[in-house]
Amino acid sequence: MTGNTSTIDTLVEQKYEHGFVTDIESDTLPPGLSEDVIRGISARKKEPEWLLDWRLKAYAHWLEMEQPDWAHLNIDAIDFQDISYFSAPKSDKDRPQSLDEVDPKLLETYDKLGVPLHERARLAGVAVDAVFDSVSVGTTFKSELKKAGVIFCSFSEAVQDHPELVKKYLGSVVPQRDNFFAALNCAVFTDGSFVFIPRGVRCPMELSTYFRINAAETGQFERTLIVAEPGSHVSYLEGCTAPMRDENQLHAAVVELVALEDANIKYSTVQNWYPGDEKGVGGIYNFVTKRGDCRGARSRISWTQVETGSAITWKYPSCVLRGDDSVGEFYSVALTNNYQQADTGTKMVHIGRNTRSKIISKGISAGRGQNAYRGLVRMTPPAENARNYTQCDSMLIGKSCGAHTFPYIEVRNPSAKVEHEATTSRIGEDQLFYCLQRGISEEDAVSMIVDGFCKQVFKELPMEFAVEAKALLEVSLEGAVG
Amino acid sequence: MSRLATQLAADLPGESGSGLQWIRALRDTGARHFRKHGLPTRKDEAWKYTALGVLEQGGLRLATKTEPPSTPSSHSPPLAQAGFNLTMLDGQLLQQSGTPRAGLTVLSLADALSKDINGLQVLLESLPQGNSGDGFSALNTATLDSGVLVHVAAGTDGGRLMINWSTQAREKSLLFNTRVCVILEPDARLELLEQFESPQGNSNTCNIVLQADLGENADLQHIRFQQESEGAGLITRTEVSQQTDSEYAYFGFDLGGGLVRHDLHATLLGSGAKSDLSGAYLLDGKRHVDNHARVDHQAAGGFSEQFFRGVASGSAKAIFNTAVCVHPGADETEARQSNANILLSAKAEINTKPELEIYADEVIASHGATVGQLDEQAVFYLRSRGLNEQEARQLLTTAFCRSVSDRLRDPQLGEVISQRMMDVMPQAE
Amino acid sequence: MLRITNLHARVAGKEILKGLSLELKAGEIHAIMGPNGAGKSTLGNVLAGREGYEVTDGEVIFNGKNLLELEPEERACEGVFLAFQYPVEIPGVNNTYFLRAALNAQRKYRGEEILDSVGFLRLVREKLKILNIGDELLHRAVNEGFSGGEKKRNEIFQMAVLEPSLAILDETDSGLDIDALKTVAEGVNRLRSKDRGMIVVTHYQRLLDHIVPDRVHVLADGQLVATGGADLALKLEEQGYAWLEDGGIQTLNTDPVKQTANP
Repeated sequence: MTGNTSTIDTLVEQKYEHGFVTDIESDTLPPGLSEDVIRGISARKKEPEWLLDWRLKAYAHWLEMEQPDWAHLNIDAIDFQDISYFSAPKSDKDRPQSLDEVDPKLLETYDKLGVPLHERARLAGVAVDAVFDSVSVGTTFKSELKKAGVIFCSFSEAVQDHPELVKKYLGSVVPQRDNFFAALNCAVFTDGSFVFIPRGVRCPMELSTYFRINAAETGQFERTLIVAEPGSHVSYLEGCTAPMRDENQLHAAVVELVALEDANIKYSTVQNWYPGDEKGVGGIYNFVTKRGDCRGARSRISWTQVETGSAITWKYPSCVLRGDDSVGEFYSVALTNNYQQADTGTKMVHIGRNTRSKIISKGISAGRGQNAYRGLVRMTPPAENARNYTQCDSMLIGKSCGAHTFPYIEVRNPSAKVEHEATTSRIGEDQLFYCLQRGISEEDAVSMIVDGFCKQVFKELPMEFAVEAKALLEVSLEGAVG
Repeated sequence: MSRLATQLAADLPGESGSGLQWIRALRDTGARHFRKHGLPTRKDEAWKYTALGVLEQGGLRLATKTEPPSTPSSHSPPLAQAGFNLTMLDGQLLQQSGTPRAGLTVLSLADALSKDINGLQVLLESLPQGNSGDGFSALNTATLDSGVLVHVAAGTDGGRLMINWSTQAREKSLLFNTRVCVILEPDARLELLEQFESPQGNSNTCNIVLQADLGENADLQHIRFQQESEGAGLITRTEVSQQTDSEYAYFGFDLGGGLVRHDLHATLLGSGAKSDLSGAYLLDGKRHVDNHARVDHQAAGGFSEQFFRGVASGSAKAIFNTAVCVHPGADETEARQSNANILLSAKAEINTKPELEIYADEVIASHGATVGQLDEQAVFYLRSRGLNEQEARQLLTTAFCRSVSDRLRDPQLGEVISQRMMDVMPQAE
Repeated sequence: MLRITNLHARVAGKEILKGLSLELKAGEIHAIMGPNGAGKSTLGNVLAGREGYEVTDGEVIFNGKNLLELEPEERACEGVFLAFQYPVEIPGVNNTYFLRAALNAQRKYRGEEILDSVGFLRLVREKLKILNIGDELLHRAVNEGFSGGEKKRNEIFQMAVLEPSLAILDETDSGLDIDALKTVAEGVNRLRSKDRGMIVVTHYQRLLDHIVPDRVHVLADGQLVATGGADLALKLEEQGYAWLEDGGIQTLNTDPVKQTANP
């Protein structure tokens, strides 16, 4: 296989296409974290008293917590006093009411990212709530959604317009002291998305948010809350990219999903934050807490993620299967190249009777990348006849990478059934040779084989996202075969 | 540090004991580590599911050498005939019987240490104990004295060596520390059969570290059968290092014990080495059995298999952690793991974690783990042939565990062990 | 020996058998044919006592006993044998061991002496010889890794050893090529006896070329809609099952459906 190394190297050396800095004056708080900073954030956002109290309580918890020490991540210490916790584009004072009013430079940014916002929205019928740094700047299709009774707005707007809903559900899935980064997020979150689907409504279009970290040394702490009332359906898409910087930037988001009786939430992520350069310099630290609560009977939450970016990814989109007959799903493709490290997986906590969960995880390691699946399947005593099926496959490309699997299986109900399967493989010489012999180039052969490896996950993505995910994988993987 | 750890640290002798300088230094290292880290707690990842509260409640004290072993009281019949037998009572070598085959040497560890046997120092010093979770090993090293050295000369077959472990019941609960060293020179063979059975009413804990060094092309079969009483603690660690083309086969059977922890670790240092680990655990009552099996592939072309089956009933708790680590350069490794469990009662618990860590290329690795019930289709099939439900379930559960005893190279021994398993087979509730 | 009267049964809340009646005498072979979904396999499973098959009405009297009141293993011990359509694989359970456990359970039930392994092996060899099959099945786990033909042969072999008084062969021909079919059918024919009744459930007529039945019943929508001699099977083969829906039942020259009066 050594003969292929050079091709691989070229591919590995491909530069991050989305690395550029938008030159917009930012209204940024000086670095540092204190009660005053939190009061400052809350005041700028004109938040009600209860929310400020909630933030301060979280901050108090956070001060008592210790940063987790990860067994398989190689990470420099993070100085939390060196991060700026708020950054809003100056034009904030006159928030654009429609896309036409959006700062053209911003729109240009999206163009460079390959996300022509309005076009994409129009062509694909997708409503986009774009988070540029920390403040939501543009929302489309709001009126159409309004007709259906769907609320889709920035988190800040929701706090102003639907305080009773926010108050009811905020922190009800991920408690403030859930973990170190969730607590930090609770204290300093700036913006994010809020979705509410009323009883029996099938959301008429796929909802989409595009996140982007822009200002230097700005941590992004967004917060997403989706509530699906009984019998409702929603599919939510989230895409992430970040410009190229030498420093490591911190991204610590919290996503909470609530599915009531017979509700169905599908949450898809394509994460392509800046992964750092080929020497491992820079890149995003992506420490995200995502959790769905299948609160009602027969509810369903499905997570699909394609993770190709970030220097370090640490996320475990999870499901708490509380309602009887509820269903949790997790489909993941995680790719690490160069010095990227990913520690990702899911937790499925079965509480209700006849609850079902399914986990399909595909890890691809190339370069010096380290890719770990860490998952938990827990069958609690009341989870009669609960079922889990987990399939966890790793693919190694090259000699210096690593692929790891750490599945925790905890069973305390004798009628529950858990099945876990895992394989580790490489792209076989015979597979490659077969393709080459048929006239397919090595690069094409590799992406074909990897695509096949990931197929089970890609088919869960909404169509246009699937195309994007596939392209992303190809770019991230280029030349990685050794 | 826990109350128990503080007590045990206080029980440690103040000075490093007698013997050669390197032995005293080794004991010092262990004592220092233990005084610093104490016993493992649930905060140590490897001890996530096992708390030592039950030992602490029992008021466990460190056994001192001054208490001489008396003759063993009642003892269960041995599983099989062996050419050479060792009786270990209260962690000390009480008697040897039979005639060792040519090439097989057995010495008490104290004798071996005074003679400074070739290779023993390297072996004893090689025991890794850097982690905070290694408290029991540190304690074992700190009190290094009792135990056995087994040596098989190059190119010879040591036959079957049986070690019978037991402790005698007394008023207070004692912790016995013992070290077993097994050295197989190149091309040597040995079948090591360990049996742990103590009389009822026993509340002692044994902390045994077994270190085995397998020379090139050596072959060690290691069978470990444990049917301790429900009050007894058994903390054991098996460290095996394997040179080129050596083969280690392990068969473990846990049918008893109160708090049982076994760390089984094979390191494949030479290319082409093979590690075949299998075991069954059948737990009822309040037993708590925590098995950790790990294989480190450090050389190319190695093969490892881990095959374990477990049944938990009553309010028993079974923990099973298998891990395979394929280190950089250990290319063309093949590693397989399989762990299946049956949970029979609403109060029982099974926690399993099959881990893979791969840092090398051209590796084939797979694992499967299941927790569930007997196949109801199979139960019905058996009933439709005339077996009653209980018989049907018993037959299927035994078959489930038999898949381990059937792997034994000696079918007669396999039969004896599966009969023992059948006798204790828990029923569904 | 077997009298089924007005049998109604549900599976997962759905009524599958809707008043089936049938009488079988010792020494007779009855074939039950019918389209897919008619309830053929349900009948076998109900008679064997499988869980999930709920009898809502009717009765089954077997050798004077109310069969429906018995546990599955008691039915087996009374002499009911179901040759499964899909015999389950039981990894780790040796075939010989399994069969001896079953035979001894039945002997114990009947108050007969338990067979030791020597006696059992002698019996097994004898049966293998009668059926003209090799002993390779003995050393493997129950049905594990068996081909479709091997599984069916194993069922017939078990029947030979257990010597039931009533054998129900549930689609024993499905998935078999013609050679395997012949082997299985020969086995069945060798086990025909004046003391043994058999119900042969099948979709196709081809099995009945080799196992000639005394009577043929047509099962459709949970009831026996036609009964005749062996020639009925041939007619069905020619005309298919479609006529059942076309009310073509009268066009067939058959015996009237035998109705047993409800008690």
